[in-house]
Amino acid sequence: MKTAPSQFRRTSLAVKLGLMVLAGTSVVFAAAFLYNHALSRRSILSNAETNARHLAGATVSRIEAVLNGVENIPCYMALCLEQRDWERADLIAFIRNALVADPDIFGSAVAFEPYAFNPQSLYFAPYCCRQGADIRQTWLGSDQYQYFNLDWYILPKELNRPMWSEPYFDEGGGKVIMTTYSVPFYRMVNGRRQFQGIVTADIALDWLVKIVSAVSFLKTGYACLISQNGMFVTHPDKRLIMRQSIFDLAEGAADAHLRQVGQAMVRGDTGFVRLQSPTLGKPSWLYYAPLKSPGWSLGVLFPEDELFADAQRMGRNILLIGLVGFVILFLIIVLISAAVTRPIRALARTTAEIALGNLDIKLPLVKSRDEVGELSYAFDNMRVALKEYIAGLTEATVARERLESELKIARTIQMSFLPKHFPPFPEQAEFDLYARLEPAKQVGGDLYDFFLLDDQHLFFSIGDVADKGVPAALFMAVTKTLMKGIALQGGLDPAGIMEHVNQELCKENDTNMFVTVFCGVLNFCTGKLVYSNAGHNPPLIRRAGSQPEELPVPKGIVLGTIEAVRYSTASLILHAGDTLVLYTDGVTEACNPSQDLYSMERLRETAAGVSDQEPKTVVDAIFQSVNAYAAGAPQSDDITVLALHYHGESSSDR
Amino acid sequence: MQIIIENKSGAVVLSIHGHFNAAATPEFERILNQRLDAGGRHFILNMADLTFISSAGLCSILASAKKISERDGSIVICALQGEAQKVFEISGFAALFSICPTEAAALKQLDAVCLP
Repeated sequence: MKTAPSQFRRTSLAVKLGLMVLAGTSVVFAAAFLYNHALSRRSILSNAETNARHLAGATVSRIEAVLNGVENIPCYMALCLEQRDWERADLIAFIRNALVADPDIFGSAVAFEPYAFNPQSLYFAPYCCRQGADIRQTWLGSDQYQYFNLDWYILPKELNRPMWSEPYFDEGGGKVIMTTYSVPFYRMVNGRRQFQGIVTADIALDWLVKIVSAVSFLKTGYACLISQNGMFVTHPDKRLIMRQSIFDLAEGAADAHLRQVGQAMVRGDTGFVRLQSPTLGKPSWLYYAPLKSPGWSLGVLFPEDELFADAQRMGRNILLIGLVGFVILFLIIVLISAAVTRPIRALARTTAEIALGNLDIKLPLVKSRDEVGELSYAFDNMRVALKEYIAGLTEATVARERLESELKIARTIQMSFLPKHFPPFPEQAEFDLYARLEPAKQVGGDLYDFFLLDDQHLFFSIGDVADKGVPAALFMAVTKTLMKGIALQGGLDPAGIMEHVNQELCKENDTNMFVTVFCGVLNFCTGKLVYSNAGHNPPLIRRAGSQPEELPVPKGIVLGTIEAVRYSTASLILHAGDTLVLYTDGVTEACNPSQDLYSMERLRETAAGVSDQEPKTVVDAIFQSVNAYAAGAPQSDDITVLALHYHGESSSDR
Repeated sequence: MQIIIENKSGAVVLSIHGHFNAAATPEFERILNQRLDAGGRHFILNMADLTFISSAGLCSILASAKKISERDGSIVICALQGEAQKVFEISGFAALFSICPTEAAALKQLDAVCLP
């Protein structure tokens, strides 16, 4: 008996169900989570851009407000300088007043072209700057400081427009980091507008640093300002200011992207980009916007992780909640499934018992009307049906065994009545006789018999009861006993014997059984054969040197049907070498697998084919032929053959 | 074996085809008993297509004939030929039953017997 494979038990249905539901839920959860995460990131980024833009915009506005204020002064001064000729003292006072007028201005100069103010003087550039609370006036221009060769002077002159200089560390004037707004001024000479010099206004960058440093974004985000050359004007890292440009940083970090960003900033573009910040050392986002008039760019930089810190924390929390939820969900599913499958498990245990053959075991009661209840109900039905079936099968087996034992009894009865000792009469040299009966599985009622009536007469017979099993065997026994008894009581007339036997058989015969019989009495001294037939197949006779022929038999009805019936006797003379072959219909009616009959013709051919007339040889040849013909098809009836060979009246002749 | 059942002028005609051996007797007896129970009294066995009859077949016919006569019925066998005819003759059954050469003759014989 097979036992349940152990791997079936390893994961229970409950756990399996739990895992499957969990897997499904996880997929849905993961999809929702990822979608939400992506969406919130995008929204956060967009918010950050907006905030950075506003912040940068506000800062730019504040700076530009100061710068514009500063720009107005030198522009006004240039205008004034173009209006009329100035006295040296007036000019100095004019410059000093400008500083007084705008406290943002650190210093201001009016630098004339060489020899333009005073034809004797190469340099003429009065410069006023603050020193503490006072305003100090100096002169620019020396052999070491030829101002008209410097950028702040040449560039506006060549470009014919006011402009801001690159921030610089002022050596000539204020000794602070500044930037200068330079405005060219002209004079009409001979109807032509001729360049006269540059008015400058210096502003110190400390206020700018203050404004820009005040900008903070998230935790460590900051703002910085770069000049039109990319130089850092303000930066939280003071070491960078005026020493490094954004391109230096890009160079140092070998970051092409940063260089491109720097170029865009210098170009005056606005943008929002992700980059690897060399100063923060991590992925960051940069919003940049230009300061129009000086051509500078303000950048607001903040690290990405801070931007998404909230989102990440939220994501972590959601994941944690999800995880806890999943564990709870799993437990609930396992509990529910365990509850649902409990009857099934009980059923499985019970069926294992049933499998071991215990069909009387009670199935666990399942009250639910669901599938499990149905299964349990169906299983109980099956158990009952199985029990009944097995009981039926046992009964059938017993019945079959009984039947088989009955058939065995029938065969025993049948065979025990037959003479089986061959040669039967070794002292009688006049004839040889051999007979063989092969009972079918169901046992028909074939019979044969032979005995000496006296020292000259041999009685022999063959018969077939038309039924099977024990009744046929008993009927055969009765027939044979009657026939022998009657024959031995002095009957030399076969017809008389038949009539007597028939009468006895018909008495009290309630069954429909009958028996066909051929019987004969041979005077083996003379060779005279008398015989009678009761519905039996006519025997074959083979005269010495001839082909076998059917023996002409008198008509006679089968024994056991009609009581008062007359039978006739026929006679012939057997000569030395003649053979009689008696057989039952089991021979001629033997079937091959395609249900064709062996037939009389085949029997005759087989008998003709045997050269040796020894009875045993003839009988065995016929059996062999029939068996070969049947080719394994089941034998449906008893097969009996009796052969009698007559040697002649005198034994001394042989 | 195959049995074709017909009703012809008050008689049940059973045409028996093929081998009438031990295996075929239960079917024959079942049909005959059924017809008897349904009130059939006069039977004709048409043996025109009978290829072979064994002793079990004869036994079955004999048993049926007894049953029919117990109920005051009659049975006629017709159109015997070949092996089957030989078996009937050898066994002496030819003398036990009314045998007619054709079905028409059998019907005629039954008419004569059954005429009120």
